[in-house]
Amino acid sequence: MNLILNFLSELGPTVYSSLELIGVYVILALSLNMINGMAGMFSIGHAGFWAVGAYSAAAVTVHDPFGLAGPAILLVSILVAMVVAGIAGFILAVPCLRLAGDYLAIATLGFSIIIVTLLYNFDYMGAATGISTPTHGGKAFVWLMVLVTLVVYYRLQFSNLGRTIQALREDEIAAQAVGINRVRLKTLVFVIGASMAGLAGALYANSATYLNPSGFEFDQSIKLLTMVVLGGLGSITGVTLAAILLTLLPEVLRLFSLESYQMIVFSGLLLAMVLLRPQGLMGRFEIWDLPFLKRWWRPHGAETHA
Amino acid sequence: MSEFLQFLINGVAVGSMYALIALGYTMVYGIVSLINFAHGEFMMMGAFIGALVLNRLQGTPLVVALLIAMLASGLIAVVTELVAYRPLRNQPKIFVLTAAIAVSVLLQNVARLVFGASAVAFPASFPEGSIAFDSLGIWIEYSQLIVLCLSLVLMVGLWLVVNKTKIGMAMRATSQDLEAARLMGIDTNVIISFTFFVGASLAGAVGVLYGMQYSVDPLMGVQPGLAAFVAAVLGGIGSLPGAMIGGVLIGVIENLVAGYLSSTYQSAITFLILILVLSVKPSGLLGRMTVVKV
Amino acid sequence: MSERSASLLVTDSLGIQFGGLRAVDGVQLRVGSGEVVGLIGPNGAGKTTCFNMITGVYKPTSGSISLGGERIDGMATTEINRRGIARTFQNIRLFRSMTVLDNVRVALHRQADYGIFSSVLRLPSYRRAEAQLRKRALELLDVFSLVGRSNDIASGLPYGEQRKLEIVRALATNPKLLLLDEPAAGMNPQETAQLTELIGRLRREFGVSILLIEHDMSLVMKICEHIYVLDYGKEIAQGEPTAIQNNQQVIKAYLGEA
Repeated sequence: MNLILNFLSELGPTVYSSLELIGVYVILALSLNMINGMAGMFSIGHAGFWAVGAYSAAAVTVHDPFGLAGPAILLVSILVAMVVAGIAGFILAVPCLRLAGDYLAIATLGFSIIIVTLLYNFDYMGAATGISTPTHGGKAFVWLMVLVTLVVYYRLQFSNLGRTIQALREDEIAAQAVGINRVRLKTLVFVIGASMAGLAGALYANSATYLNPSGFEFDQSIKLLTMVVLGGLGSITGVTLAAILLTLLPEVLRLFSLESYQMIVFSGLLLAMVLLRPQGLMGRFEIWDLPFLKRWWRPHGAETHA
Repeated sequence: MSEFLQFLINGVAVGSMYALIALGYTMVYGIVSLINFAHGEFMMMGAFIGALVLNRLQGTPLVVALLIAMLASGLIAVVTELVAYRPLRNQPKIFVLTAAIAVSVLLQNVARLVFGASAVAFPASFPEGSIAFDSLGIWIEYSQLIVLCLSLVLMVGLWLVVNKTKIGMAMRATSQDLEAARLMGIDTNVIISFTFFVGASLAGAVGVLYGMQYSVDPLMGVQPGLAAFVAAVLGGIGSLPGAMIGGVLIGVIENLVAGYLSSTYQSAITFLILILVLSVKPSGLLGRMTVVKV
Repeated sequence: MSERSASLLVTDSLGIQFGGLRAVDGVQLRVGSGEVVGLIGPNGAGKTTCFNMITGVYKPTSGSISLGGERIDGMATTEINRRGIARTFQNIRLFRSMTVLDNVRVALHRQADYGIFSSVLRLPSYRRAEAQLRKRALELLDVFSLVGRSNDIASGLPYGEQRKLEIVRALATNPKLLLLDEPAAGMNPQETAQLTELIGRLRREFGVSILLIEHDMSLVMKICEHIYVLDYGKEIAQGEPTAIQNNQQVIKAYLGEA
């Protein structure tokens, strides 16, 4: 009983202090959802793009090559992070997107390992010791970016891009037979996903006081994968909720002194989900399917008509 | 020149272990088209179980411990397939692959809880010493010689099983066409289990050898597992001789890179090779291309 | 033999080899513009393989394919579709978990290329194009009486309607030539009669040429002006329906050596 009371009283402050991290993970999970869920590709090295974004942004804010200050430097660092992560996505996509799903997965894993290896040896950014990063924006800014990401994601899903990439996911041969350019479209989505992860990286570099290569290793990619599978591949609502819950999970485990079980919980959850509920917690349900929202919120494409 | 030869010898010794692990990847892929992500963890389990047997049952001959480790790894793989992969066989490939990744991380962390996170020395070790070839300026360690010989024995054993036994014939038939094999009266579920068993027991044997040479820890399967996977792809996934050649090649390349450049970039180079092979010749050195049915 | 209109699709000594198997060998097809041409033959004769070569799913190992005088063999499926060939599949390949409307809108995607930024910012160009896309999709669905199904998930449609939706989807890419792979398979006689009439309408209203594979001989004989017969990958006969009906070699191929 005491334990529960104690837990409840600590939960609030824990959530509050994790707000920025939650925001970062929501963006990351959405960006992975775009690649794995919407497009049906399979990346298991997504933390690599996150790392590229975080370190590119830190390179701007720490070394300040443009001689900027205040909020401007934050915005520039975000821009740089998104562009560099997008380029990294492009470089990986070009040789790999011709591959079948499982090979692509291994290639992305390889990519993330290469990135982390390089960071461990990158003296300019502190190598294995890591690097301290300044903070220029607070919780509100992070969540503004989360909101922007959600809107962009949603609007892309209900556009030509979203529909054609889903078609490609459903049936590649039929999609090509209606004129969809497989390689071009997949590359595009991969680059968008990578650059969204870059945004998350920049925000992380801003809110974390310290970057270290070990924070971007394979277990992070597994966490992201668990978020996407728990929320339901392709679901916006589900993945956002799953990202929030699973970011808090380690904190909650810490309150019960169970933090050493963290990865067992994550991998066990991942396994249980694919075996028992592969469609994710909420399946095809999205927030706009709620009865009281349904009347005025109709995502483009789901309208009713005579 | 002698330096190069030395790197070559070291590479072949490590590569023969990669080859044994790669065989498991390639056999499983040949039959169920799954990259068994947890394969490296079967190797790690083999190492821990071998060590456990030697520690708990003092006086157990090493060979017996090796056989127990192989058996245990094989059984863990059979159970994994039964519980985590088989129910997903008719699901999109992404789900089975996700399950394999989950099992991999789960096994690592279970091992960490049970055996501890830090590396421990294996209770047995190879005899110290080496054979020197002074005229060439190179030497071969006894441990390398033993690893090579044992690898050869296991490979010949596998070859005999696959080519000279009834169940081996069924394995080959199943990997050609699972559905046709089933219609011919082959119990393909048994064959799949057997394939997992054989592949994982080879990995378990490597676990013991690896442990004896270096040390044992929960993450020890990751690097060799990935290297062996790359080896299987390089050789042409689905091809047994390809896996052996690929394994040795990766071992040699890694040692040359470590020797002439730096060992920090070892796994990065391995993956660069993977990405190159996949973009230039995805079917690998000895693999066959498949035609998609429309 | 009657006059045939100017050539749209021509294959010259078209062939493909899988390993040691010559699945299709030396096939000479010709589809004139505005024509409905049949491709028939026993199972395994290589008809679908021909479709797969024409649409770039397989690369022919010999011969050539040209559309309106331009060589298209060796091009990617996407390219070939953009040049004006659309198809349906023998084993229906819809975008199964998408709605009927979305299946058609996907195929219309090139007729509303508004770019990512426009869709993210929901600029007027996006709204206009989307409205246009929707209108066009509904018009096409209306031709096949599928408007009422617009919001249904494609995999939930009855078999006959799935076949029709596949035709609508192919038609939405604005093809010059439509390849139909057993459009009447699994349909009841009433549906088949309706389909026969629809195929006639497609030609009249959309000016599209049609090459179709079909086992329902009454349909083939009724709507095709010209018929090619394949057996074991080789062309064994061609001509007008009446000529084909009485061709001894064709009868033998279908019934086997008596």
